[in-house]
Amino acid sequence: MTSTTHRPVTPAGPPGTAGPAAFLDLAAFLDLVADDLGLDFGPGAATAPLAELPGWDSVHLLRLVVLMERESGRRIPVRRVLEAQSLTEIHLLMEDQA
Amino acid sequence: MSGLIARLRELRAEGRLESDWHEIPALLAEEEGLVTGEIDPARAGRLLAAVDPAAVLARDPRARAVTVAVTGRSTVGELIDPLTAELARHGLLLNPLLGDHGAWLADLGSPAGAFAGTEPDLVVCVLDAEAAFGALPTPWRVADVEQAAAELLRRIERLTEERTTGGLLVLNTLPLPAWYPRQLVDFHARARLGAVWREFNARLLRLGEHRADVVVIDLDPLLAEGGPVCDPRLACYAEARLSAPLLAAYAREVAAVARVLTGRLRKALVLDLDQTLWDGVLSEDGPEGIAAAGTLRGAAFGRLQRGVAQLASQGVLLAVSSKNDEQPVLEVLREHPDLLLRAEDFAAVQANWRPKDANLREIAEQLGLGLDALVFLDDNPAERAQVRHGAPGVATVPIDEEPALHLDALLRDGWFATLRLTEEDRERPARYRAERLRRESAEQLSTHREFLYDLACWVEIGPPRGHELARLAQLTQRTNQFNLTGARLPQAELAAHAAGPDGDLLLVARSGDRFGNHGLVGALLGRRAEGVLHLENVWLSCRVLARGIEEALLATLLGRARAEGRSAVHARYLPTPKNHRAAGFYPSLGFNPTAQAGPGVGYRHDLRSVPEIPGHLQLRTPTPEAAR
Repeated sequence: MTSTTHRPVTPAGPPGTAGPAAFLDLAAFLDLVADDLGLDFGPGAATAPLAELPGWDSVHLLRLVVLMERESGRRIPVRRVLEAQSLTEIHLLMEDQA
Repeated sequence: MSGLIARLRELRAEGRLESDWHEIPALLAEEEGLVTGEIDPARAGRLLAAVDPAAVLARDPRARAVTVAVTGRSTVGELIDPLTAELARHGLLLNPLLGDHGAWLADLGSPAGAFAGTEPDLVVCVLDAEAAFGALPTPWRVADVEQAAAELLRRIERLTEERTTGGLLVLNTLPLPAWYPRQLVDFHARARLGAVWREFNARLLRLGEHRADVVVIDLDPLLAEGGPVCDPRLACYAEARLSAPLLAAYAREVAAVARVLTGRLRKALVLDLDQTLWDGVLSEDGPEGIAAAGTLRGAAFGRLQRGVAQLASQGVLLAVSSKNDEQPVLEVLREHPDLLLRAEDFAAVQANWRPKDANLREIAEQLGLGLDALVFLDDNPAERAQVRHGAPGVATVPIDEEPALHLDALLRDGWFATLRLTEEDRERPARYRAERLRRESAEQLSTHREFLYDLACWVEIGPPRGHELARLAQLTQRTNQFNLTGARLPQAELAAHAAGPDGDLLLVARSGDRFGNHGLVGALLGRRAEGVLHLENVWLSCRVLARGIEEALLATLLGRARAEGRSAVHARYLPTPKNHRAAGFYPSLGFNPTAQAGPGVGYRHDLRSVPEIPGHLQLRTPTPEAAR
């Protein structure tokens, strides 16, 4: 795996501005996660520590790994997703894989 | 987003999951994708996990919760979401108790374990191969595995004896991940490892054989349907040693155990016919156009029939609900060469054009079961939806136009699971079949009697007229089924008997009904001797069988013998290749078998109680021949 360059979070923007390639922008990513995990994210959820998200369970990370791999169609850095502290961090990892 | 998931989120957002709990099973049943795998049950389970069982129970006294203690060697939390959904499908709330991570021995065996003081209904101990391989030295040999597996088995055995938690213990076989045999470079050692591991799993499976409080679920068939055992990355980083899909499949099995434990047993399978049990549409293609063998597609239906027969042999009652005319269905069930399942295999047959929910309710009533004991298999989604709506409680199994998948769909949910089969279970279908035959014969009897009265049948009994002797001779020649001795008499001999020089008694029966005159249809020949009357033979035309004419003939004869002061009437039945139908005729009218020598069976009637002429028959007095 290549190392991650820590870029600023890219908020949802017009097509073509989201990230270097085809992975979902942050808003769409949050929607997908909320839908699959059955969570309702309030404001600030993207950067909140995962453990503080309402309804969060450590098992959700395992589910996210499967979900992200399916959505991106690529192998993802499992360990780093498991170690991620926030959804934004996971989104960044995904963008870097794309 | 699936409609179900959206609806569950809505209910959750409105805080109505608990107040509307009683509607959840129907909501889940409506989403067939939950069973077919299009929708991950875990997704529904995650939403339903928000339900507080205590809050539901406080509101709804009919609700039922099961307390399931879950422990294991590695990460087992992924079992909870799918288990929540699978239980909810059957109306069961999950009250989960999670053990301490990796501490299954302490959880189950120590008085201070995680489950101390709780009373679980089920204790699910999820083990994986690491429970044995984790204890191996590096490098290891097959002998080391054998030893570690033996030690693990001893621990599990001891646990079944000495565990501190109550409830039914559910264990699983331990799948062998590919990376273990592949670490052995020689094929003989790999084979040996496979054998050692299977011997361990086999002994584990046998643990439940003689214990009522242990169930061991074989994961191999579940893996054969879709693995993998695990994702090595998640195994490595998160101790998730059994994959989410495998745990989801396991959750369905555990839910089946919980269903049995709470008495939610399904007892009868109701089958659609066209495109479900056979290929084709009977009302359009005719009996020749349907198939369940002989063609590729037909054979796929045959596979389903064999599977259904297998279920029936273990006590599952079978019934039919089909949109068809009844008669052609019964004929196909009786006679079609392709069918393995026959009319007598079904405890109830509903073939008509009524809505199917009415059929299902009727079947439930006939079998004395609740709707929640029925499983309905139909390839038409509209029929399934109609039954779910109109006959709530019936489990509907989604199948489509691919018959090769029918059996797998039927078996997927383990609807008919039970902990241990009894002889009573195996005999159940036979008992229900007998009941159906009794019911039908009673129905037939009453409708037949009505039919007879409606027919306005009449009978006239007396000596033959001269011009009738040819017809009488012909009757004795042609009558096979109702000819008590097989005797056939030429016209001349009949004429001699009719003259009655030796006390002969020749009586004929003429009959008709509101549709017309049948003419001479029956006869009997008697011979008076030494105070008794010998009944030589009785003949009756097949055309009028089962109209009571034969009874009327005999009643007349017996009445006359009694009036003449005779002490008895003797008769004889001689079996022929065709007259078995008449074998019970004499006994049915009060004749008793005698020990008298001679061929066939001898009978004697003591004339104490003489049968009456059946009430539906109008007895006409013959006009004397002279007056003709």
